[in-house]
Amino acid sequence: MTFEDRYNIVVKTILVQGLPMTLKLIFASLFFAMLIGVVLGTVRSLKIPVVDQILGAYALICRGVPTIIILLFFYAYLTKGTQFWISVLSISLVEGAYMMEVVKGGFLSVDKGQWEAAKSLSLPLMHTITRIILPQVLLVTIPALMGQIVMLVKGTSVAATIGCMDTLRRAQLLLPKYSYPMEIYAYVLVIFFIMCHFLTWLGKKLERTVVKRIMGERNV
Amino acid sequence: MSEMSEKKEIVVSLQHVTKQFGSLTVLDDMSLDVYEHEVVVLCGPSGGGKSTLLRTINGLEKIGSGKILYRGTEVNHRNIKEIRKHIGMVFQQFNLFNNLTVRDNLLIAPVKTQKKKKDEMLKKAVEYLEIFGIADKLDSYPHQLSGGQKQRVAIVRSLMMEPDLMLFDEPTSALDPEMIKEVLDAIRRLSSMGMTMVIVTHEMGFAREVASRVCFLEGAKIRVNTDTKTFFEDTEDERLKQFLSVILHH
Repeated sequence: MTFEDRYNIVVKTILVQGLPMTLKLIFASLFFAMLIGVVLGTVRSLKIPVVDQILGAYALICRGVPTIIILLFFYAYLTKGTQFWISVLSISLVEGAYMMEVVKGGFLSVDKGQWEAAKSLSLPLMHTITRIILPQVLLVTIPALMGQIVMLVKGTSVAATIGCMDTLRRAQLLLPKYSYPMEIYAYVLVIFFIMCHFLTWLGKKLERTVVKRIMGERNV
Repeated sequence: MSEMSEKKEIVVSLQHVTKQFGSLTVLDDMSLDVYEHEVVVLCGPSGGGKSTLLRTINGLEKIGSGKILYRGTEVNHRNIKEIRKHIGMVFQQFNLFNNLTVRDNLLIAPVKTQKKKKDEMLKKAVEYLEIFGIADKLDSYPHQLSGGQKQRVAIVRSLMMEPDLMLFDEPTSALDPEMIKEVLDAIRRLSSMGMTMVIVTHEMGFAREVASRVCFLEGAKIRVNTDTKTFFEDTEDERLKQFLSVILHH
């Protein structure tokens, strides 16, 4: 391979064409997974009969099956929707289930005195949750959530299997043209490594700054 | 101590209140009237039902039978939220909102619940913080405060609601000895302002000084309910005598 070939592979194909799609997958999936996680995790913490069992079953299924199988299932089953949105749906459902359980766990870690104080001040339930309990839940679960976000970022690569034109898929399509699969995959690998490593670093940074400033040393 | 007139209004009246946790009776037919400007101290051994009784007053614990009247109105699940706005509660573990600064801890209820003006409330908050000697802590988070400071902020948080009645659930039990005084001083100040209070405490010296009435709770019953002087100097109850001899001379 010439320098120009490498430039075409790395910059023109992987970075310019593939990476934006991967980032779109990440942000869309992250948005919906967090939405599912925060809302349903909050609902789970309230232990509403029947609803809680349904959500428990959801967690059981989505955490007990490989994402790729859920993705292929939806791809076979849904007649509408682009590869992109089917991928986002699958990844969000799976990662949302994990985040739901993390958030639920976070709720358990908040002292019941916080609820009682809010009650004794007649704070409405919605205010109590959105202003007091949920912010504490998110602050204490930052390490776990960040770990889950890293999993999500890595997990977006399954979208390539149904032909979503992400970083990995773009790289795969280059293989027939060039005879250096190891090198081409290595570029993809480095890109994912950088993204995941950055997020891990960001998580630690947040813990050491924001969480420590607000909640103190004991939660770090 | 405020023992002005005989004809004072009853703020809270507990009538034949009973509560059970499973087969365990924690409140057994308890009745207690708290008059305006009165400071009632609840004391007694652990498991006697002091804290539970206190918590029934603002509905943090449901009662099994009997009734609770606040200013003549029977407390029920429909009006409890409204009634709570008039009742301040201070907890053993402070329970300041960990994710909010002192400022937001003090403002959240009046501004969000009572829809009062933020700048007016802030002014009031600062005034109270100055009274209790913690005005410099306005922008601190709870974890940056000492136990005594946290408890004083918790007292101010209740005062922000302009309560008609304040409840204290062992307010000094989680504090280091040297911080107990600053919190007791804060409560003394409220007493001198004429605040009606019900206090669960083991600080018997303090009780003797500020209480208008003291109740001795044991075995889910109010064994003794009398004025402070009689309680400490002239009780006939053998069990109370024993309790006082241990607790006053330890």
